[in-house]
Amino acid sequence: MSAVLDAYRAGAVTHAEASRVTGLSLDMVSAAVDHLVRLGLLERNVATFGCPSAGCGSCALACTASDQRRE
Amino acid sequence: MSAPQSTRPVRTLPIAPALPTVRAACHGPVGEGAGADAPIIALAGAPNVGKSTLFNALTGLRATTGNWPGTTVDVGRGAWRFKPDGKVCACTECSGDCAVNRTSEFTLIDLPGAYSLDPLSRDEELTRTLLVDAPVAERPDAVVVVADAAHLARSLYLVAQLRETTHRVVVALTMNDVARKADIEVDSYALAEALGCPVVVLDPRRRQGLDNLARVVREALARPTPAPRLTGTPALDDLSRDDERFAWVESAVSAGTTGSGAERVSTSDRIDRVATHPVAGPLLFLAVMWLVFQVTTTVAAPLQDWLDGFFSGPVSDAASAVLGAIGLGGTWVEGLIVDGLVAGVGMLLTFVPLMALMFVLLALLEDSGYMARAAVVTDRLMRTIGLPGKAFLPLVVGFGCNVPAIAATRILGDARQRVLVSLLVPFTSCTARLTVYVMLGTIFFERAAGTAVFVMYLASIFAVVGVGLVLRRTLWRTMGAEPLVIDLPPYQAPTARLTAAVSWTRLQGFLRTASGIIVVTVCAVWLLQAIPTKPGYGFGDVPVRDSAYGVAAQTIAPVFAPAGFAQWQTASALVVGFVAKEAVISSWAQTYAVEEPEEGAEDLGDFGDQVAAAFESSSGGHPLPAVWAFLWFLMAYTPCVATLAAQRREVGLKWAVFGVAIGLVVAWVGAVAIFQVGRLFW
Repeated sequence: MSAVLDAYRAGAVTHAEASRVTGLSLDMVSAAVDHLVRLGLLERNVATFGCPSAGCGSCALACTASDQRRE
Repeated sequence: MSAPQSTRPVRTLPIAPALPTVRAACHGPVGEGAGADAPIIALAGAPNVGKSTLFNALTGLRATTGNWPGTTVDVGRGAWRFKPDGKVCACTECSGDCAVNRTSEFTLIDLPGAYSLDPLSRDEELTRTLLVDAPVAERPDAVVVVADAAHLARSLYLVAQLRETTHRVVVALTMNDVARKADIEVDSYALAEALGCPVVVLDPRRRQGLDNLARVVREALARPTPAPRLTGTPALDDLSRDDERFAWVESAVSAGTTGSGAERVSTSDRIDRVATHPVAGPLLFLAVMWLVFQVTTTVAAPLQDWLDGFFSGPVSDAASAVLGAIGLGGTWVEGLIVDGLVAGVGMLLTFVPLMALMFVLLALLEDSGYMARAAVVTDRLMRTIGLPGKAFLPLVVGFGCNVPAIAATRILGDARQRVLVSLLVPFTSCTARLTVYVMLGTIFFERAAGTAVFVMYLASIFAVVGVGLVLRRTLWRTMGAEPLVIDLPPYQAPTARLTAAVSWTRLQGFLRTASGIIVVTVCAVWLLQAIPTKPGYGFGDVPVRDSAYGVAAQTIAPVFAPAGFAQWQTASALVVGFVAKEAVISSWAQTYAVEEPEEGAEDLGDFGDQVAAAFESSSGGHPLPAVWAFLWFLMAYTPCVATLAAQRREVGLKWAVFGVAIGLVVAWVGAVAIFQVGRLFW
């Protein structure tokens, strides 16, 4: 698990990259990432290139919009 | 040996099972457990591994099942009845008639889904309470951990933790068909040996392997409680302990499976080897974006020309005719409507085909999954300037519109990171600026207009990186960068419906924003152009150059002389652009539409010719470097008042003003450098 964390700290962004760097299987990397995310040591984001209406609910924009609505 | 449960007093779980009334109301009745003496078996496992399906198959009850994580939100309980099939105890003195052999039912507890025994949610906390925190006598007699054979590593962390206790653990392996499709073969015997507990392959949907599971659980109950697995030297910290567990899981997966993980290379993975490659990835991204701009400008240009002629010809003529017919011809009303609103809004509408086409192409790239890879490329760029990976989100959003991008900086946890990224967002080239790029590209570069637009987007990225590097090495030297994982969706064929919906929504948003801004600024510009600054002229009857608008622009224009675009009409467009970039072209067009040619001067014809002549004149015969300098200035200075307001809201007035200053300095210095160097060659 530390190896996976180190891989991301060293610049890996995707599971495939981390798998290449650590030599672990994708499934193993995926499990380790899940755990690291749960521990708060890694942050997972859905890649997005924009949001047409801040309504898709899956990106930062949508979160921000809902925050603003709550405010 | 006597069965451990045979002498056990009647017990209740420390946390009450599901409330029958609630279940009765929502999902139908849930039956009671088995008899009081029946062993209690807990069904545990991560969400989405088929746990509830197995519970239903074993108990015949109706629990909520589905494909969404966290389906099991409370504790279900039911009787698991089966036919005892022979002696399972290891007693030498009995002939198979001891309690454990006679058992024909268990009370099955369906625990909430949990990835591990370290709870992060109330559901997981409940699972931990029942399995770990409860007194030993109150715990279940055995735990069946449901594990997904296709994602074994993800399921076995819980097994690793349970094996550190004295629980009797049985692993029920589901999703075996999915695993086989992914070329994963599980050797249940080898896996059982590696885990130190029985493994049962089953398919709850087809009710296969259920009898075997009952037999294995009975055998487990007949054995003494197992010794906890050895974890080596006591771990120094949580991370070391987790490392040990994952090493154990990896060892078990390696021993019990063949063909998992590394060998599975999907088509998406193959494409990603290029699309996310550190060198090939950015090159591919640049090539794709160049193609987008080239196709956009080439295909949309004829339509744009036609619309331009339509609004400046028939529509303007019709408006003038109507106003003339009602007695308003030649009045300030005609000036406002024909030279202002029709010219300004008409100019905006000529960009509709271009924007629509670009939105469609970008939507296709997004829907196909490629844009997620572009985000990976962008993320690497962020890292090179020492920004946190998450900074890519607001910056990428900024290429659509800077205002929500500034708001999106809230996702950054560190206040200093938010300030830095808020200062960088205005350098991302929003779609409003695109209209100016395209217009000048079409006037000065004709067929290479797409390439010119592409260069401006490169310049925008260059500005973000350059300013980011300078700020990181001066004001924010100690900022940390958190690691980030980006979820990449698999590639897919874009769907027409989604592409159309996304494109239409974006086009509507652009038109709504732009038209509102343009109507307001057209009226404001018209008002300023109608106010005379010299005696002898009346309101609405003054040459533009002698109006408040013209005089103000002529005052500012000399500032741009070193950059080669000191024509007051050009400078005035930049001043209006401070309010909103959508209004640059409309006010520019409005200025030329209202302005009469100077006495004796040649009538330069349409707007494009007038702009070309202005750059030729102001640059001393070096129009191309002046155009590039102008484009750089337009890209780099304050995008709009709304962005400024967003910056003030998010990071405060001081930083917002600082951002304006940075933008103006970078814009002016860059523009001067581009013109002064460029005129040596062009």
